[in-house]
Amino acid sequence: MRRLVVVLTVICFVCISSTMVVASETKEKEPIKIGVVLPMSPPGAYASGNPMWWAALQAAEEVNEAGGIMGREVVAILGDTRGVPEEARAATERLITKDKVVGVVGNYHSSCALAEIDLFKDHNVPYIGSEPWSDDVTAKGYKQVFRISITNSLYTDITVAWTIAAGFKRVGVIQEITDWGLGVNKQLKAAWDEAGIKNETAFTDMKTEDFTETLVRFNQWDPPADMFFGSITGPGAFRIIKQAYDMGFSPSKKTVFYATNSCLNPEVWEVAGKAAQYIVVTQIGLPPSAYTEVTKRENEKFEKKYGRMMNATVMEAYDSFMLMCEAIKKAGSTDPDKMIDALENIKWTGMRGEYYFPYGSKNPVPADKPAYMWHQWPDVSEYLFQYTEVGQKPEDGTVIWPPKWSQLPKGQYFVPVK
Amino acid sequence: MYGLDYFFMQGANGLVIGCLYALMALGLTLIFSVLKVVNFAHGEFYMIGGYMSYFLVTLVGGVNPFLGVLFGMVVLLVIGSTFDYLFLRPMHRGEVDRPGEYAILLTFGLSFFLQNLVLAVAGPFPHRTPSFMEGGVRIGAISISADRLIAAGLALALMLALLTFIKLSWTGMAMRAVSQDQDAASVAGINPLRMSNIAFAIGAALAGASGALIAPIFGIVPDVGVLPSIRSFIIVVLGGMGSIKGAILGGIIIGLVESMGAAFIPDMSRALAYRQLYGLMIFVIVLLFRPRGLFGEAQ
Repeated sequence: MRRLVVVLTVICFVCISSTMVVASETKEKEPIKIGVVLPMSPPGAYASGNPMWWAALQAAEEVNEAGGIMGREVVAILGDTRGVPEEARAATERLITKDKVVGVVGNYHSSCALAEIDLFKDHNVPYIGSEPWSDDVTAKGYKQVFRISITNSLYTDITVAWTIAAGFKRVGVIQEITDWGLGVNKQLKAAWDEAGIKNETAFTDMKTEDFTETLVRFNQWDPPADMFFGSITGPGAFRIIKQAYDMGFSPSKKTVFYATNSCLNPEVWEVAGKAAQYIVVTQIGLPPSAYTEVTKRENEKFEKKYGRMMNATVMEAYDSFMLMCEAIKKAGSTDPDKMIDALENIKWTGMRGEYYFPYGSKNPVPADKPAYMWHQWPDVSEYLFQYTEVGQKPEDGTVIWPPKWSQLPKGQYFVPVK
Repeated sequence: MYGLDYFFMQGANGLVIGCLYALMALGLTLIFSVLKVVNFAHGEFYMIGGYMSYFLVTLVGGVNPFLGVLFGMVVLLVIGSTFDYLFLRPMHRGEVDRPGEYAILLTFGLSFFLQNLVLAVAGPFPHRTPSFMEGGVRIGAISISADRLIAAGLALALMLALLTFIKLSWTGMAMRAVSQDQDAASVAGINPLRMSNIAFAIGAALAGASGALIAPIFGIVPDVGVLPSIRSFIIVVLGGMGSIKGAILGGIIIGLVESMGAAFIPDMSRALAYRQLYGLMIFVIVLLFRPRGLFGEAQ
């Protein structure tokens, strides 16, 4: 009898142990899930969110083709924010609690990122912001939150430096009312006021179809505006160009048109047509002359698959996803603290340059640096270019700012309308 | 200080846009007056009209944009008629327990379905139908783009055609009879189901026409119909639910008020942001003093 009990105990022990081993092996082979939060449907900026998602898929595909991470497949899981903060928060919560993602990347709208970051903090999930510009995203100093996009402050500095160099004295702005827009406008206004540049802003909802009345108001200025800033993202960015041009306001010999990076999309030519010739556009990324090997390779691959080039925003989505994968590789684990530590010490070259985060838990942001530099990639490059031909690709436009990349003769800061 | 030229310029813009608002609202009010259904998918019909015109003009080379408008109307006529036949007819026949809720849920569902279908099929990127005519037209001090002027002219022509049809044709009179009293119309030999089907199809086609007319001006995206749809509800209530002349006048009033508000509110930083609000204010004022709307009839 005793022998029987011993034999049965041994059998039970073997069974339980082997089950545990199999379970643990299965867990090891489980895919690594990375959440991607983007506006994929209305009312968000889905025209930007969709190609960003494709870029994240391209990144995941490449990682898996190279054998995955630690022998495990990498899966990108989408959370559609619809550009609405409360939906962004719900989608993120689902990714964290239901899908059990080990990290999250993405976001286009700052308001969505701001609604989500407390969740990353509470659940201790690393997050890399692809495109939320609001300073507050990293200024809160959460150890889980990193960012590779530009910030409102950095963007403002470059815009203001160009307007001052170009000698503009009067500037008109139509500004979308979003967290991004309000933040940028506040900083631009302060800087322009300080530089003695007369400026006036008309705020608008992103969905506004007709800007004609306000454009007519700006067109009444005497002397005329030197520059008009159509600070709208999404389809409105194209409409405003066409409407301003149709009434002879801008782009014109007297008024330069400055547009947002939505106008990097080829659809600007379809919607705005020849009105988009001579508009100045901001590009957050490297000029073609400074492209890395990764930029060229990935761009070719993307164009072949999706029939369009990656713009800076799309590159950011690719890079942020890859960066999260690199952090897991470097950490050798999906443990959030180890991943965060790996991100704080990372050096990795992506499509837009070499990524690193100089300020973090081991090296806090010094008092003379702005708070948003926490976990912020500091080398975000931005340049301004002008479309000089109808149907031109952004990379073929004339780079006009900063001087180190400008293709114009010294002392010239924009190509005048012919 | 702004001069008279500025006033006329802004007024002309408001009037032109108002005509397009009115055309869309006309479709909504026609559906409501005959079917007693509030069509929550009206904005999506508008959007599909724009896309149909775009597809015909850009994918089939050399097609005149005017034909695109016609094509948009025909497609929506078919969609509207089919939708009514398949989904709303059981409600008209009394086969549905709670017809009011049924119609709301159904048209809401159709709205989400169409928006996401177009997003999946046509993609997320904005498009624009080629212009009816490039350049602008100058009448005295007023300068307006040729596209806007043509779109407004066609909208007026379509509204006039509908009014004539409703007033003079046998089908138009039958539709009016059904909108006033279905049972009495049936007794007089009119088939209310058929009239409902025609009204829904024409209403959808009018939304499609306004979408196709706007497509060369504002461009199209899958959610382009959301704002016009909300505006149409305001216009319909302002003009009086089910009133055709109310919808036309309401559309023009809203167009003018929005335009003048954005043009003359002294605080420029807020003038454009509150564009939708100006119409709503008129709407509230009218409802305070005339709850039935401008041309609404007492229940």
